[in-house]
Amino acid sequence: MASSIAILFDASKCTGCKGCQVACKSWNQLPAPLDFGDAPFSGTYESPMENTGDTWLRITFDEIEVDENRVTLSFGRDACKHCSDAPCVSVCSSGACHRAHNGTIVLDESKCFGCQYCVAACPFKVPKFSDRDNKAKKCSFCQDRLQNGLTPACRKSCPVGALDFGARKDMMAKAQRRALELMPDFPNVEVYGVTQMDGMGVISILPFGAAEHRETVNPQAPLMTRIENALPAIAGVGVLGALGVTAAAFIGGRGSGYTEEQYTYDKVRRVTCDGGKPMDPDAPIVKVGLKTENKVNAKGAEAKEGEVKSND
Amino acid sequence: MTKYIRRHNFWARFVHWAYAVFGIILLITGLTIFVPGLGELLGVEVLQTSSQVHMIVGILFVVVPIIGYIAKPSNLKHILQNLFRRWDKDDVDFMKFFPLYLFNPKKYNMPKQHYIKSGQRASDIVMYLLILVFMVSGVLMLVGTNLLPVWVFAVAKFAHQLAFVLFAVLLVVHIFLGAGIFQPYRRLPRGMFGDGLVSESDALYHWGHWAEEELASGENVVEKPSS
Repeated sequence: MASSIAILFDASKCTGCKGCQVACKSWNQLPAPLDFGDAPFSGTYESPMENTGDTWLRITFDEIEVDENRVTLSFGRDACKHCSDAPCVSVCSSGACHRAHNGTIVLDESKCFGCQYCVAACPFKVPKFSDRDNKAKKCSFCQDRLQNGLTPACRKSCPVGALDFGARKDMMAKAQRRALELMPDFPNVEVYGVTQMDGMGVISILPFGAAEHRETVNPQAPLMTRIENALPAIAGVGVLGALGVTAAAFIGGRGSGYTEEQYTYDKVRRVTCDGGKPMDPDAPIVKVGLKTENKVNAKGAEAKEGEVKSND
Repeated sequence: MTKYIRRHNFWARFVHWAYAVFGIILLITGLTIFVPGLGELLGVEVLQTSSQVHMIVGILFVVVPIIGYIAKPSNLKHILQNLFRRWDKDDVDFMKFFPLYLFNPKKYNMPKQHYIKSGQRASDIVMYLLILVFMVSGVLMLVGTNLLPVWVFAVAKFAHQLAFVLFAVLLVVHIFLGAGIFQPYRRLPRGMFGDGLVSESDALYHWGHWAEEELASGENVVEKPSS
């Protein structure tokens, strides 16, 4: 189910001010690293270099060579996409990662027990594990603000209108119109999030194309995650099959066996005895029954039916 | 009086039961995470406790058997020697006929076997490999995504879950045979449950080559009133 609401990110309007990053941290009370050396200069305006348990949204910076003499920045929005086909939800065994009534993906920290399965399942590497409280974290789409009639904190803070919020179908229509406007100057412009992962709760207008804005081209749930989702059913079938086989073997084995004194070892003759009589070392494996089976012999010798005493 | 052969010494039984007890706890606690919806049904407190027990017992699962191997290093050597011993014709024939024997044991004179039956050798190799996979992947998952690349964690998790499926199936068969539910195997649990002894008759029926060697040497043979 695609979300009924969406955030629209227009990268052509973004100036990389990071107001949205700050607003996200501020509203969600996410601590920033403040000690000396905690955030070393990395040679780019992009900071931090990746999301963490305490940073749920960041703007990525990439240089694009427009022509021989001109370079510009392409911005990307690195945060939860609120996918319709959300692998984080399918792998979550506690129900912490779930779909809210509006279709967005919410991580209920009170239910999270820190298995990190969602971290491994997300094709965008969005959920992050926080050592602070041993729980996974990610953008919540500001559910608490939405419930009180407010817009998400990131959208509220955007000074240039690069972020918009509303009904998903309206945001998609808006994105398509804007993409058409940009097309003459940006022939690679792409609207991202309409079809990817069966539709996302974040629609992006990407003037230079998805890859240039550091978005995953053709994202999919990891193959391992898809197989893992089928494993409980496979395990169930396997265990039931094994129980069926053992039940059949139990029935087939009833009444078979031997007494605790039946087999003895004659140390002098160096031979195993059955009921005191030396056993035939050339006894066929199959004791009685079909002629074809009697051809099989432990020592490769032909054996005649009835020659061998049963050892049961 | 009945002759008995000592099959498993104390430390071999100790390692087996360490794997068995911790393994079953891990299996149950792992199920709460593995089966979708089960954790949600049980509630987050149960899931949190179960996950913590899984981690602690997981560490015990790695460490405690090592204590057993340190206490009696020859056991480990013995296991490895038996697991990787060359298969002879009896071993191959045993494997060939075991599926038929399983459903109609009265009809078959199974070929004599060495200390570990060829079928069990094959199953044990898979079991030990799965235990190794559990250990390595479990440790990697314990380290977590903050210290490891996410793909390493994802592969470890996948391996852990896949091993779980195979292990669950093998465990059903292992319990069926080892616990003596299968009629011809009904007296075998004593080798692991009790004093580690098996009767002369049991030994000759199940592990003919090994029993003959032991009975000929008499080294590990004891005589006791029959049980």
